[in-house]
Amino acid sequence: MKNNHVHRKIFVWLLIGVWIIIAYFGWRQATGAGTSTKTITIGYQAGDEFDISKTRGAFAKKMKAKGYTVKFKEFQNGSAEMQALANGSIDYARIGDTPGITALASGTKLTYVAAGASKANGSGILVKKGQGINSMSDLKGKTIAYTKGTSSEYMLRKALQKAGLSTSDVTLKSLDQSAAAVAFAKGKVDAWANWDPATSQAEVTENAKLLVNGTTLGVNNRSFIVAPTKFAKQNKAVTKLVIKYSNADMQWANKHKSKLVAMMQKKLKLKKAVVEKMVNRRTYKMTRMTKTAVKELQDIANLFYQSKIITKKVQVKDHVQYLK
Amino acid sequence: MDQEISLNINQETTTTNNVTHQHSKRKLDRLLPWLIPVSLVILWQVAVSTKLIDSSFVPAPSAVIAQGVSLWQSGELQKNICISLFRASVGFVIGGGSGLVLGLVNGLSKTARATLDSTVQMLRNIPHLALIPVMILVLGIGESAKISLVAIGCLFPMYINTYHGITSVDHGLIEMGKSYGLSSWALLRKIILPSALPSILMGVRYALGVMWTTLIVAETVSADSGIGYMSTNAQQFMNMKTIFLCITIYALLGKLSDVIAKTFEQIYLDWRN
Amino acid sequence: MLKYLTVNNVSKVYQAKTALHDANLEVDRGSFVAIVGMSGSGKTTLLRMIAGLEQPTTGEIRQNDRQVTSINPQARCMFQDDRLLPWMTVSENLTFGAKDKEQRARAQRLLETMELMEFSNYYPTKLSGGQRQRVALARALMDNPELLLLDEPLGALDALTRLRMQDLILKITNEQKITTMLVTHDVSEAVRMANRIIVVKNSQILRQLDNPYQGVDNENGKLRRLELVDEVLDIIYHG
Repeated sequence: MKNNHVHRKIFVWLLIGVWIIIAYFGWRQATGAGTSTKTITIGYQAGDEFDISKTRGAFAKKMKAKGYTVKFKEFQNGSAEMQALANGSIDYARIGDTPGITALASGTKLTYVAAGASKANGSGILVKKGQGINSMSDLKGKTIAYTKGTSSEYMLRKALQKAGLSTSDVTLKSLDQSAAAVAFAKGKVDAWANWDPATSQAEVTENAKLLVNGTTLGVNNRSFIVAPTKFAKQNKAVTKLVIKYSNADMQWANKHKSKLVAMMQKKLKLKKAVVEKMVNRRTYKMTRMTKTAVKELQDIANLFYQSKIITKKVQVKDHVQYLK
Repeated sequence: MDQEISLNINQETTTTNNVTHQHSKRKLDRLLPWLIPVSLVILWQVAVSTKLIDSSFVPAPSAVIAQGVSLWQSGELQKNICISLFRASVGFVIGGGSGLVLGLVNGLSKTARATLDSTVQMLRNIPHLALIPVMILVLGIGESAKISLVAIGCLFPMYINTYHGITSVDHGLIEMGKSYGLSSWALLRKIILPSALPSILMGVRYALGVMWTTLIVAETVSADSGIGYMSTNAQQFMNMKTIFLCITIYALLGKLSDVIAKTFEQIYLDWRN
Repeated sequence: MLKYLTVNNVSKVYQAKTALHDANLEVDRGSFVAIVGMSGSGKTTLLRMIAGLEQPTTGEIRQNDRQVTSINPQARCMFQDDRLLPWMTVSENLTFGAKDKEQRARAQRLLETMELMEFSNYYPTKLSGGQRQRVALARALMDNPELLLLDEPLGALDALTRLRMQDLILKITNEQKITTMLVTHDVSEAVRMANRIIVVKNSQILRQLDNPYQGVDNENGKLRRLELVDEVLDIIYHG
């Protein structure tokens, strides 16, 4: 007896229809990561690695060729970047070594994806020359400016620790960058823990010197690239490209220091001497995360926890992506 | 038609006492295939809950489901399933389609057979997964490499079964068709294709199986998305829950494709039983 | 008078083996011819050449004074195996799945004649051997053939079904005046159905006998037919 199998036909074609729709979405997604453009938003701070990439332009072009439109967003400091990262308005952020730790402690889901070279020579504690402050112990009873939750805080604490001083031996003043700059220039604070280009600037224009720098403190003050954890997991290919092309710019920067100086000078609106000082005391690079870098971060996390800057223990290794 | 219906009614009335019995038996027959999978899952859950099995190596089904839910909420699960399904389908359509066409052409034309068949038979014996390095070198690690691999995997079962189906058509039926004045086209449509259909659908079933196994391997070797990738990625981080989730998804997708193939057989081969 | 079908000096050689040697035959329009002989005697080969399924090595076959050189469009064959298409229903087997209304109506009428109406939507596998052969017969009659070629179509049926089929074929071919050629190894079947009997042995046409008693239903007719059966068997064995 012939049966028209109407129900079976409806069933099987419906199933195939659903299958095709799902596959279509898969196609959109698979090709969406490959050919159609996707916007990647990158947060950076003035004069940092991404700023070089942004100014040079090659980075965005190469990413465009791979199907990604790059948008750069400038931030004043790391904590602002971390907030933007937490609410999803940026996909990558170039930060110093501490904002990530404090953000992790406050529950931001972020992943370290890349590490930069050491900036130890450009970071340190600034004092004015001729004020009789020649060693860390001379800072006893003095006022030191820093920015809370940034590398300057870590560096400062590390420096005090190394000199055998406690935080009660000095007056610590947390100021934001511009306020601190003014306070230091006007002599309202005796010392200022900071990094390039502010340090070079002060050294060149304010007759200041670095009392201690990162190298003497064993503080590398690296740059890191972080991304929201979910984004990092889903976009390894993008991250690989970001690291690759960023590092290409870094290699270019190492080879073309005079061009870099001109570029940064224009960008940062600083004196040539300042930029030269900054550029010449560091090398640039951007690589995938390394165990050494993670260990440095963990050191910061431990110190911050001990100093009760953060209230939660942070296991940095749980928030790192080692890309192949 | 009326006669038939009355005939059926007659049959049914004479077997009324059997009907209820048969009905419950049929219900049982439907449940029977689920017996082993369901009891395995229950056993598994119990074994993990009572710590008979170390849950860090074999997570409980409930944990696997919970992992599935959380991956779904993050959007990762759907995305990877969609992408895997896309790769599988496109590979299947391209490979299966070429296999079908090649099988038809070689089955129907002696010249084509003489030219192509020995080459195809030779290539057939290369395990298609051995082509992964070649694929990566030639096509990179993009979509085309994975899709091509699936396509190659699907091509041969489809080719062999189609070819076999076409060449083993009962010669008497073809002779009958010719002597009854059927054109070549009608001969193909009314006799050769329907006759080869069981074999072709068998090829579809095999190809669907190969499609999934090839895709798993392709995605574990080089991918940044898809179920296979999810599984390899989870393996790197010893995330057993995700690994088991991926295995389950593969099992379900495999079952789904089998259901489709089986339903096609039930629809288009119902004359066989 | 011109004969409807003539077989002139036809031989068929397969490689080194002669299947039929120098056959000559004349068939009147509307007659019922039976070709009898042992298996392998060449009777099926002769029928297949008339159907145009095979070509003679030498000689020619003419139908309506035209040489048969390819598939014979006026002829329809029935084979021992019914050769129904298992994926088509009974009625679809008659029309080859055509949706044409007229064809379908004709198929229904033929199925009615064959008393198969109630099975028209069944697949052939559900039918008995006799029913299947009736479907095959209906299919052969679909295009109103002039010539019906029967290649032992009843060989596989049980005796009773066979008798019924014989009557059915006779009735239809008589009514529609279809020239019929039946290949059979069953001599009594041949004598019961045909008015002319061709005896084939060792690839040659041995004898052609008229059977004036075909369809004669009295005592004498039956007796004469039995005698004829004896005679034919005698020729097959000793001729």
